[in-house]
Amino acid sequence: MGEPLVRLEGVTLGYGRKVVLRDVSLQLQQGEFWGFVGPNGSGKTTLVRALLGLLRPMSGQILWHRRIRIGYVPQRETLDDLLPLTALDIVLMGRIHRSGFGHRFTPADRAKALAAMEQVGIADLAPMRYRQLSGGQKQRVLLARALATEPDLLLLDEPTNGLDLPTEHAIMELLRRIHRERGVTVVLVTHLLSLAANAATHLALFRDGQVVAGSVAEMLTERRLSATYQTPIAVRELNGYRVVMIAAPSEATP
Amino acid sequence: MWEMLRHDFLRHALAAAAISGVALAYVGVYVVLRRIVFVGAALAQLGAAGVGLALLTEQSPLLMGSAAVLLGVIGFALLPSQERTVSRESLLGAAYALASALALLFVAKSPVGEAHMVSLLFGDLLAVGHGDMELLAIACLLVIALHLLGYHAFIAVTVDPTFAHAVGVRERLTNLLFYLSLGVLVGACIRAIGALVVFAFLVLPPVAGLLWARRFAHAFLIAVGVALLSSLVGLSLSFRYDLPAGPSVVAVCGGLTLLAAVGRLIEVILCPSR
Repeated sequence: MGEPLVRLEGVTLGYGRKVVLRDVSLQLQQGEFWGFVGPNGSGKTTLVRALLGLLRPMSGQILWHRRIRIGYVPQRETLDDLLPLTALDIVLMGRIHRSGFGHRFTPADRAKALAAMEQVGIADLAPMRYRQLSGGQKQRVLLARALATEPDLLLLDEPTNGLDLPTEHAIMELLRRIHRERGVTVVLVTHLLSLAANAATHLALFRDGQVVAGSVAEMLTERRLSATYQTPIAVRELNGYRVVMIAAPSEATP
Repeated sequence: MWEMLRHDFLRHALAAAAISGVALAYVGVYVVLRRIVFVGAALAQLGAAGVGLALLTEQSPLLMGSAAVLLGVIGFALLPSQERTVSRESLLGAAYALASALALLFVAKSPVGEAHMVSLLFGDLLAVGHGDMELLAIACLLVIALHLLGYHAFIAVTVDPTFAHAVGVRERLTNLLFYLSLGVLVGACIRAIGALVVFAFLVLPPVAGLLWARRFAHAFLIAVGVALLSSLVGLSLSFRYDLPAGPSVVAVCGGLTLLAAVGRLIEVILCPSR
């Protein structure tokens, strides 16, 4: 078992008086790969904002076991195409530390940014304008930026949204490889259960303001999923990949 | 052009336009990228209302103009980030309309009367004195120094505030400093160059810069260059053809920006991959 990174104890989150997530208890450990899965508006991003320190719990507490670096990967649409930035400029942002005031990039920062681009297979795109890149290339740039922070925790918000199937597959393979090679803790936020089920070691299922969490083996049972989503769900294996789908009426778990 | 520089008041006018143009064009790159152009317009009009109130009450226009702009900045910072019933643009539009009307009403009722209406809108570049110049220069230099010191922090928060926060940039403080610097700048420039020129410098040179820039540094350089060139050519034309100074500078600035846009359009047509 890895070293604990963060523990959430009875955390309730929301905006103003509106509660989005209630009484969430969860522990992330070093080297785990978590899938935060749920429909749009189920509170996944709210929990990510709390982990990033952008949102304070209304009650409960978030306990960090040590000071860690978080590599955050937003959806690629977050970055405006108006921005006059090359791919390398964006990745270099991962080397900004502390306040950013008085910061100057060193040759070592550039070397680390280029190494991160190399790791995600886009070293040749360094001088290209961000706006000229394809969706998959943009997502790799944002992943390289997060890796350039030398993170303990990699937090990815819907990284495959809007990508075609081969690109989605390539990004997920890349994430698996980074997780394996770096031993970094990963939190993948997605609304696609099948996507998380094939990469994650642990799942947190978001539904109606509640979070149910555990290892993939515990969570990926038809009974558990059907109870969480309140609809019959089937889990199948196809060419070595787990596929989660709505069950046909004849195969619904009783 | 050299003949123009023989006159003391024209040298002052050129220095005032150039200094404020450089600072406004630099900060304007963020204004355009953050899509808060309307904030710039509303702040410029609030500054004009402050100057109008100063003329009515016979107080310092610089002080009152700056105070009105800073109040506007605080008001903008207090606007809820999540729109519930009324959009932020609507509130800014209301502030713009109200401030414009108040500015004109204050001036109309002031001892100096309607003679100041035009200078309120277009500034009074040709009347910038030593004291005004020093204050303007200090305010602009302070703002530029702050932005150079926090170069990476301001860019990071503009590009992706959540990521900036994740790597340790104090995103709220950086945003507050940004809006305060914008407020100080608009407040300091409004009396010298007027609401229209302030707004034009905040938007037109940055647009020209962003049309051509590959990187942030290029956008800042092009914007500053366009502002400087507009000040020089605009004032020369104003001197030569006896035109009002402020509108001449804005017209040249607009012409250069249009030229940049047409040039970019031609480049895109000839070379679509760039």
